Amino acid sequence: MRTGFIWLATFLAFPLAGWPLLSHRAYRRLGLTSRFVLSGAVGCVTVTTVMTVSTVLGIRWYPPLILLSAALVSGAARLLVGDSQDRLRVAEQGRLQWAEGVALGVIFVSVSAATLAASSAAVTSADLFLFWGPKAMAFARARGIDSAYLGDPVLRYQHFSYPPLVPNAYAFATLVAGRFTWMSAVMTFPLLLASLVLALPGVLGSWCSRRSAFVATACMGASLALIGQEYLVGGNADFSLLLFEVLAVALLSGTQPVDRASAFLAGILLAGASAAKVEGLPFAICAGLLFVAFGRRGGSGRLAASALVLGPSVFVTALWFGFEKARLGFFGYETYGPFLAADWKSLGLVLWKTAAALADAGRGFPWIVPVAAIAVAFRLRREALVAFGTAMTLAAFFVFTYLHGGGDPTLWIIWSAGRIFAVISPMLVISSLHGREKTFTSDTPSI
Amino acid sequence: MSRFFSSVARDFILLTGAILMAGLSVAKLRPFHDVFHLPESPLDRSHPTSAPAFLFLQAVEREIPPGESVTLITEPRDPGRETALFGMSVALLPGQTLLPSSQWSAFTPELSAGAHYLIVLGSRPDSPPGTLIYEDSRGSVWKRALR
Repeated sequence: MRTGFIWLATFLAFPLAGWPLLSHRAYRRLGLTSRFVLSGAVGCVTVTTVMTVSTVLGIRWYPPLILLSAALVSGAARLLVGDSQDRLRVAEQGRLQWAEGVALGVIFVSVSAATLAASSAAVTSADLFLFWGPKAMAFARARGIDSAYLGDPVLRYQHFSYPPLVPNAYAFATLVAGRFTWMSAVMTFPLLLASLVLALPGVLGSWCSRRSAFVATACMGASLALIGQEYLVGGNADFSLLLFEVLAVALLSGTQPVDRASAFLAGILLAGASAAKVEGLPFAICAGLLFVAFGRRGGSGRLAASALVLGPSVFVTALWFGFEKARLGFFGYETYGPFLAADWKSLGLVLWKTAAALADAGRGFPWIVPVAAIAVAFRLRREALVAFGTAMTLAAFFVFTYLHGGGDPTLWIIWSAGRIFAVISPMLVISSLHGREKTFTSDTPSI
Repeated sequence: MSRFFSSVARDFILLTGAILMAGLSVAKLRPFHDVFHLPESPLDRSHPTSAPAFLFLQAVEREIPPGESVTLITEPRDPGRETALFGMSVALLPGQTLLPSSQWSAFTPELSAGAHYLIVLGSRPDSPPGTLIYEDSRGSVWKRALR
């Protein structure tokens, strides 16, 4: 059990690697709790990217060296933030309103339920045993991304082309703890959920009212806890992906100008999404482009904003694809056939089955609730398009993907739709915060 | 609808929905006894049919020397189940070289023939495939003489 605690506690080292960036004064408005979690997220991206770079360079993994290098990268990243001032609104202070108290209670109950479900082995993901865990153990044994292991035809089912953030992070913990522990990997589900709900109030509260920030966080936390329990996500990469995606879009959706520091931080988080799961890359591209087109760029030109928000994703993706090409003789991601070879005759069936799967997941509440909130939010501001457009584009992309399975996609949809559509729920909640409220007005036109 | 009313209504909907979903999460939890009782394996309450195989593979890990080649079969033979169990054996016997007896629900004798150790989940095979080195109620482990 001691090894298990050490394995899980290793993730507390990630904030050390991210803090050199998050200690910049431009991030002070987010509050200490949010900055701590965000430094953990940034640390996870830098640590795992340093691990991939080390493998490419032929340097074996040693955790202290990796952590130090990641902290140096994070410190060097401060140069890109420059002298950004903390000129945005400081989060509200003062006594909690009753709605905020209820929201905090809901957050506590949701995280507790997820923790109890995970610790009682009720939400363990099958994918943890199929590939996330075995890859992490193989990488830890080899002290690097083991291309011989990934290239073994017998292990083809382990998806050699999946991006490396989660196996690298698990391998890092395995090297520190001395061995891989399954239950600790399962417990990353409540750990990541707790991290998300700890960070969100500070991030959302930097551009919307404190009450709305707490209430939105409660809604996102409750919906993700419920989906996580229903779709057995303990130990797989889904919640790493969600953490990066939701925090990135929350940063990019500000009603006040999104300064260079926030745009770059969101860019690093989108890179984390791109390196966590295959669907993280289309998410990053979509959210990044929508921000450049419709977000409040705070004086940055389109090119500069694109570089800050999409540059880190381009780097980690190019790094992984380059490694694949050089060591495995493969480029890109495994697919279900040619991209444009969709079976359009199945569209009706796919739409029907997807709707049925979403209605079944959490009885449809994770999607119905934010849609209802949008409906009463009066007219949405233009900035809502970052989250709302990402949600709609991704939903279309997922449906398009289901047209590629060949044969009846029903089982595939039942097994995966609730999980992969989970990100749509928080995107809609963030969109709903862009009603034209009186409290924090914006001079941008409504849509 | 005034802007103030719309923001209050929106927050009310989000909060009510959050309460409902948190309630559903709590309702989905296992009975009190299960929740506060440490599981024997990480699969106990998520994939209960696979939990015995997990515990058996954990038990046999120390019976097989590191680096040895191993294959796993079920008794009676079931290529679908053997395919799934191969994945689990790769996960739980990381120090050994695993050779699949089935892949994609089809038997693969050409891949498993060279395995030095044979893990059998289920009852003993009719004729002993080698020297018995471990056995419990869930299965057995055999050391094979390779030609």
